[in-house]
Amino acid sequence: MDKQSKEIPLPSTDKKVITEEKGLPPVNHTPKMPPVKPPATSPSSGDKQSPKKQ
Amino acid sequence: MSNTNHYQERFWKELHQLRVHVYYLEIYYDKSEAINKAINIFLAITSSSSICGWAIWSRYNFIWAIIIAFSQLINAIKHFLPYRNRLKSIKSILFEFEELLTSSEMKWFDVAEGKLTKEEINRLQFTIRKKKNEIVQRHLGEESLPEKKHYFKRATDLAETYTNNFYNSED
Repeated sequence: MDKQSKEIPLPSTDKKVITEEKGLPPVNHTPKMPPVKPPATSPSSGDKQSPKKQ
Repeated sequence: MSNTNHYQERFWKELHQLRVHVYYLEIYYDKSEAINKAINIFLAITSSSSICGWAIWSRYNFIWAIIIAFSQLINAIKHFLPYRNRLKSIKSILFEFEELLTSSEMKWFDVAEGKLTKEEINRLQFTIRKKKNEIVQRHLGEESLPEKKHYFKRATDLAETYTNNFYNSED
């Protein structure tokens, strides 16, 4: 698979769905995400190596 | 935010939002229960024949008459007051939300450690959202849950404290 095919955007966050949780207000502020490793490049059950850091 | 961890960031936000909602519902439940209990205590007092016989009421019988009228009114409408119905709905939602939060938080490890692909992270995020919607629809149905800004502010503070304590996330 070439690199371009991996960059196909996934569905974006649909804000309408959030507001449909009636009675549960959306959260405006989220604390900063802790450091994470880059996502895997191929589906794995957790035994594959992580991709190279960018 | 780099494009690389865009999906992880979204999952993180979804997880945080779920935690805020769990705290929010806990506070909502506690307050609704307190109101329900207060109403029941008030009705128990006003229906007590021994309290009714207190000598003080012979001097302030007008006040007692108002209290009795008010308690009869409450008694007549108490089945239509929202607190009782809300208690059951919120408790059920809360129970399922807590389970969902625990399982989602366990998945955060795989998300953060780069064990999942972007597609898998995206799927996980939408699974959480879908389950939340289903739980709310199932238990709340046609009922409404009026927004309480001060409960929500407290829930947000609690969730941020939790995140800072366990994820060392400074913001």
